[in-house]
Amino acid sequence: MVTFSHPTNRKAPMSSRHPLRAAAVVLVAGVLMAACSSSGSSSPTTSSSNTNGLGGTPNTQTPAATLTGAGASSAQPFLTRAFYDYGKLNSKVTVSYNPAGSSVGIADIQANSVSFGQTEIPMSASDLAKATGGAIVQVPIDLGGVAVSYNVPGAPKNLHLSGEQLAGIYLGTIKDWHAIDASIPSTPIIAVHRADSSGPGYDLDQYLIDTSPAWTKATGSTTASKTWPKADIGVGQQLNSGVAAYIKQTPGAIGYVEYAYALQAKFSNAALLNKAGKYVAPSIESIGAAGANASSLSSTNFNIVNGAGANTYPLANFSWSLVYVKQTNTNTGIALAKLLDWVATDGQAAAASLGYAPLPANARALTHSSLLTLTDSTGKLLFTK
Amino acid sequence: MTTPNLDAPGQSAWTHVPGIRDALDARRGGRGGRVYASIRWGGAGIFVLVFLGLIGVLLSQSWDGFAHMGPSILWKSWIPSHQVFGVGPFIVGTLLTTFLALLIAVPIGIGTSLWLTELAPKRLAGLLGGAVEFLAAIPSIVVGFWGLIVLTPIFTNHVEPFFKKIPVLNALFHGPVLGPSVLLAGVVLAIMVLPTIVSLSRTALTGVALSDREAGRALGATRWQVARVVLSEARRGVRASITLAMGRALGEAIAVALVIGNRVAVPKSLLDPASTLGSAVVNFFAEANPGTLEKSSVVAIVVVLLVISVAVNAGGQFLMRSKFAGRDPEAFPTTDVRVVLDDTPWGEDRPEQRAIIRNSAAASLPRRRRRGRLGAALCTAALVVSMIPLVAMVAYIIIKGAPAISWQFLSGLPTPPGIPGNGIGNAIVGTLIIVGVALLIAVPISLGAALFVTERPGKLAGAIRFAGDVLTGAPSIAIGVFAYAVVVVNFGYSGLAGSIALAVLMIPVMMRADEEAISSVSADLWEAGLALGSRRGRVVRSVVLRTALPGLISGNLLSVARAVGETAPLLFTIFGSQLLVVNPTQPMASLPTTIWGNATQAYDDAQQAAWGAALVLLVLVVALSTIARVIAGRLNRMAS
Repeated sequence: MVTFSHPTNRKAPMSSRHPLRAAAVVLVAGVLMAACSSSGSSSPTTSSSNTNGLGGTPNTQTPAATLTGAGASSAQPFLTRAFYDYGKLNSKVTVSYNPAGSSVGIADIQANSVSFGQTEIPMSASDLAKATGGAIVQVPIDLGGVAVSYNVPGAPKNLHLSGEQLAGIYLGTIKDWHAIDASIPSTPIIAVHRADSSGPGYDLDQYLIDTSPAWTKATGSTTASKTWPKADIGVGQQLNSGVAAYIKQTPGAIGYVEYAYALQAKFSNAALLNKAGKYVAPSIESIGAAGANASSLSSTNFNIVNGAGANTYPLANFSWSLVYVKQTNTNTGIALAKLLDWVATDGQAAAASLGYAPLPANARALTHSSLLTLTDSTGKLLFTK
Repeated sequence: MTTPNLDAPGQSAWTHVPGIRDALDARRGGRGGRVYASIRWGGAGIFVLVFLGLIGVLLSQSWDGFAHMGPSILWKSWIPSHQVFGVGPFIVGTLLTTFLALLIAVPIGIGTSLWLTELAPKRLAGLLGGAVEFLAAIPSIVVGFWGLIVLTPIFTNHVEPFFKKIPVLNALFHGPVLGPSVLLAGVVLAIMVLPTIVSLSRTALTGVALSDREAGRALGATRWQVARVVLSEARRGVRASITLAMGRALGEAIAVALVIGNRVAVPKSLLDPASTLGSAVVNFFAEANPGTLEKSSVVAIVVVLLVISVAVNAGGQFLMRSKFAGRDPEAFPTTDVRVVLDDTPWGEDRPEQRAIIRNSAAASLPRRRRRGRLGAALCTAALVVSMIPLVAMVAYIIIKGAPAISWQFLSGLPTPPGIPGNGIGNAIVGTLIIVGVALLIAVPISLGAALFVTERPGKLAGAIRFAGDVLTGAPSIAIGVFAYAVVVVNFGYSGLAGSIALAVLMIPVMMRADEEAISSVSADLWEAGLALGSRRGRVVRSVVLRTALPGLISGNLLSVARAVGETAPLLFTIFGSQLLVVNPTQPMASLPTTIWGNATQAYDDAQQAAWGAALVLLVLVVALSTIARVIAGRLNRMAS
């Protein structure tokens, strides 16, 4: 039996922070709504079945619903935790999440067979065109980082690495750790990459494209790829777990893993040279800064790799939920929007303990304003505020 | 009378005796006959439909990939950034690792099964034989992680440096020692195919008539000589076991991907990391967006894998037919397969078996004894070698998984990382239901198809068997793709969709195992049944299937054991659920997807839950297989 004395651990700073956040969210939403109604020819009216607005706690007015989501496995730990926490507050809403991969998430939302899809890279225009249920909104729901971790006896804790050096390592032109840092005794470098297509691989490829002409020359591409572009050298390991296990057991190895893994394995992580010319190591704060410093964030302008800001860690990315604008079932639509809005705000409380950075205000505002555009099957907005 | 050709696909001993054939044909009529015929035709028909459906889905989804690359897909490399999607390096990696795996597993597997049937005390044989088969039940991802965490450092620090030191041979092992390599992947694959070889060879060896053994002993042959006669009698089944093992080695994806190092380049040394077709599919499938050229090209990898599986199967048959025909009958019996026997009508003189006895009888008794001791020692060594990975892996799973086990864990519902009280109760129930339904679907279809193939020799049966052999080489992720395209897209996610996917995975393996078990029933029993005036269907039901029951059960169990730990077909079909669901038309949870979901997370509690679930899965399979064996034993005793 489940005990009901669930320790929510709501500390004072959190609850005092919340009204401010909500206020900001409402402000942004209000501006957006004003923009909407002024440009729209037929101003939509509120769905009669819904009397309360989007957001706010404790969401007890949410209709009962069984929701399904599928997609990126990287979001799974955070999402299952957030849904679990939400279930404690509102047991009428249950959510199942299938971490079968971003492509499955996109295929499922295109086929309209899940309530929401999940992907690390937002759907492209051609992906969106194949959606069978009309327009899709894409909202950021978590913020993660990628650590460049190494196992080098005698190396400092946060070795400084530039994009050029990292490219040299992954191109095989820098072969010895001694060449990176003279204080390290001669040790052959073993570069490990993700063998499976992955978000972390995409981020690192983007960083190397931004920072190293040698890398772009060698790979012959200026568009980042989820499939590692230089898989013909070094060692490829499957999944974060594969890379992490190999780094742990192989002296001289360097590889990239989701920050949560580096945190759990207590790896030494490289401090990477960011756009502002500073070497920054991955942490909840520096990853959060990467998200917070993103200007005009949207699903077509989602890239925060090598972003601006002195304390920004250059390898960070948002994970995106994919939702149809037109929700054929009004109650499900309301429940879904309220759930995702909660995950993007209060639900972020669990993020840091799992190795994700809490969603910064700009991303929360984007999620909230995007969810406000959801309508029922007749085109009426589900929420007015 | 024409000389029956036993080598033609679909022919087994008893259907060739002209008298039986006529009697069978005469006993076809009646209602029972029609029911029996519909079972056979139904099984074969459904199998053919599934096979064609699978091929159709894969071809239509891979069309763009093939059209884009043309024939150069076979030799170019995989460079997505340049829109080049060739599979050349993957083909080389696949052939190399499969060859290595069979090179290791075939002698060890056959030696082990010989030891189990001919040399071991009966009780011990049952125990150890069952134990080896449990290896088949360990999910690929668990084998893969064990290979990654336990075997890789051993290879890095000891095995690979050792091979580099051997003169001459070290030409195959140049280059830096990295751990993950073609060699390591070959060894891991050998471990994975070993239970298939041991279990099916053992069924075949046990099926050899007692009179043959008695005859050998009566002629003064040593135990070892008799063992060799038995092996040559059973080579048909032994060969089937190798075919299935090869299929599994060709198509294994997740475990290989965790140990091969996934370098997209043709390996220049056995120590180089490489990629296989299977590992490439598992690496690139999940993140390739639907409808893109990349996605289509990933499915094209599956098609190439199936074509290679066809080629390797056909090539193997051709090689064995031409190369070993008329060779010294003393040659290792598994290599000459049934070639010599094929030219000899059943029931007449069997020169090969006699030659083994005669030639070795010519040797002095001490020499024969020495040879016997050497043979026995080799078989014992094979047994020991095949037990090592089993013991090591089971011990590892217990050490890692046991701390997770509690009543809460076994009966509760899952909690996310960081929340104590994680449970897998819904996953256990889900797995039992999904696999149970899959069994209900697969057993009758495969049994019907197997009866069709054994009873209706000819081109059609040969084609069906060949299709089955090809299907066993399909990576399980391809079956997942098929089930997603056919079932999930039309009917949505459900436990039933997972059952259908698992059934598709099990049918070819079951069909082959059933066929071997049925054809190992002696012709005398058929004759006896028919002579008593029974109808054909009745003889099959009461005599043939009853006699073949132990073989049927162990063969079917083997494929259940394999299916029960499969992740990929379920990941694309059952969706998973946080709740306890018993209605198979709804999304459900399962143990393999739970293991997958937890093993791929960073957190200690998730990792522990993954190993705990793996342990539960193993115990479940042991329990199921013990129950099935006890039932088989009871039925056997009742029959006799």
